[in-house]
Amino acid sequence: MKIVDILVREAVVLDLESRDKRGALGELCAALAAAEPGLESAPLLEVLQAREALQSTGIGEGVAIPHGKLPGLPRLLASFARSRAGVDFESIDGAPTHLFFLLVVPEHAGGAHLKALARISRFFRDEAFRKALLEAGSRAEIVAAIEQEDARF
Amino acid sequence: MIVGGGLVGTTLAGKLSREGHDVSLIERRPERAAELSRSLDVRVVEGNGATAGALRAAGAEEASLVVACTESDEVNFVTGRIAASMFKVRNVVVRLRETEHQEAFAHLSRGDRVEIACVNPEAAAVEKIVSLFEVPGALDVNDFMGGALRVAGFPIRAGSEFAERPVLDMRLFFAETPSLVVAIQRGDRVIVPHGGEVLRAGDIAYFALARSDLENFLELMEARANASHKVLVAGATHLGLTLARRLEQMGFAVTLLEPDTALAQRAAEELPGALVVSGALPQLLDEEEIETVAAFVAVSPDHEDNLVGCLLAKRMGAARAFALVDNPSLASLIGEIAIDAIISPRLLSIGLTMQHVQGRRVKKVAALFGDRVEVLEAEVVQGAPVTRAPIAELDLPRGVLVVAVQREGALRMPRGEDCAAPGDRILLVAETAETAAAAEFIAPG
Repeated sequence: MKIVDILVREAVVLDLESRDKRGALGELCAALAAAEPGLESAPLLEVLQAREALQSTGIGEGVAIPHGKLPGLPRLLASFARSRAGVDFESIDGAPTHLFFLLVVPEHAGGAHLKALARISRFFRDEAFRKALLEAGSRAEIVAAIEQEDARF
Repeated sequence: MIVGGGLVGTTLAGKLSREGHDVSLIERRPERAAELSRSLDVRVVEGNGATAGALRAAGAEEASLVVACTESDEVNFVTGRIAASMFKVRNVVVRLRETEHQEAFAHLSRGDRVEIACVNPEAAAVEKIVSLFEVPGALDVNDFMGGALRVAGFPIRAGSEFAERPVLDMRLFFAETPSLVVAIQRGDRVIVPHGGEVLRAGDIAYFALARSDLENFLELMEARANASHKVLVAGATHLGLTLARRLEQMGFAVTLLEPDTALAQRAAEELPGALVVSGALPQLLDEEEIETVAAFVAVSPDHEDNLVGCLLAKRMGAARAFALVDNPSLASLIGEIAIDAIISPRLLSIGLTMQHVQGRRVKKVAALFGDRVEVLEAEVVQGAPVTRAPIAELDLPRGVLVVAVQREGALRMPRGEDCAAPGDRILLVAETAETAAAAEFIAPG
């Protein structure tokens, strides 16, 4: 599975305004809902918050991968957001989170969900990839960085 | 008190004495007895454990536990009966290979007001092999919490989804369940991972896996069930026949390989559904199109033969190869040689016996990495420390990992701020020296 195949490019956010977890998740959901016809922001936010309540998806090194299963969704969707100032995402290393990769999957897509999560989390272990995302000047540069990482594996 | 100074008896004696118990051991062979009294820090009595005299001499009148684990079912039977009826020993564990003996023992022990347990290493080995067929790619599988959680070992191969992955990613993947990495062997080291550990190519890692996560996990691990329904079993022993019967029930077509023509003949009569072939192993492997089988399982009484047979089978293209091996130094080769799993009936006996030794509250113990790490399931007792303070505030021995809590049948993630309730089941993992002390927090006594 390629991440570029599920990435909704129009939903990429260059700089989040919110500094707190709820606000950042809200912006991510709103951006994805605006770009994806038929997707509503509120139920998505609810699903993501329920997942965060189990354990934060802030995996450290300034990265979070909020994700959830949304009933009725026809296919896997992903989007990306960046916060220059950093968000308190209750990350496992306690540090502010700057890079957010959102993953939303249909209710019964357990296997594909895990594979996408595994792939995204693997991308972010690459320091050069994190740096490219932090330094990208435009949405096109962010998409290019993700495409480049996707082509490596 | 332990009767029988073989590998099981001496290992148990060492373990119990290290845990602070006052241990005596009866051994019949004089040279072996002399050797053991030099090497073990326990009282060794030379004599026949199937006699009241020897049992009395070794302190049966004061013993709270007698374990009969000689090579002979008959000796174990008699020892167990004398200990239970004459000496009223509270807790009696007998190793009996034959189901017939177990039934007779249970029958004779009905009136006794003592705790009696039969340990059948062969039956345990068969169950272990069956569970390996249920979890593709695993080199060891242990069931806990009534099958709700499995602890399974996998080799971490270079380029696999788990190589170079932080163990904490399991929390990312399986947030709702206690599925996680519980133990790692890296070269000579064993690690019970906490937090920042990263899996490396070449590691062997044990994962706790909730039943609902198993399929998705195996897909990530790229461990796919082999489409073949053919299994080769080498060794038409009692164990081999029992295993063949179980595998047939699971829908496998079993071919039994047995060099001894008389044994092969008998096997063919007892197992009309199986194909029984007699001859030399290398030639048989060639003829049986080994590359088309789901697994090659070597269970002959010669454990070195089992290892060699598995190596041959793997080289000739067998998808999986499992060997019955008791010798701990041979068993430690796993990971370095191309064998998928090693099953040790003796280690299984030790695990089953320790379960009984630690009392009724300990429900299950599994030894990992040649008994360097233990997984222990225990039931929380009224008033136990774990009911009185949150898990994070308990002064648990260093390195103990609390893996899962099961309350009223539902699995949960243990959280530091939670207390347990009486009747909860708790699964923990630690280096073997620490587990007995850790169990005290759950089920003291």
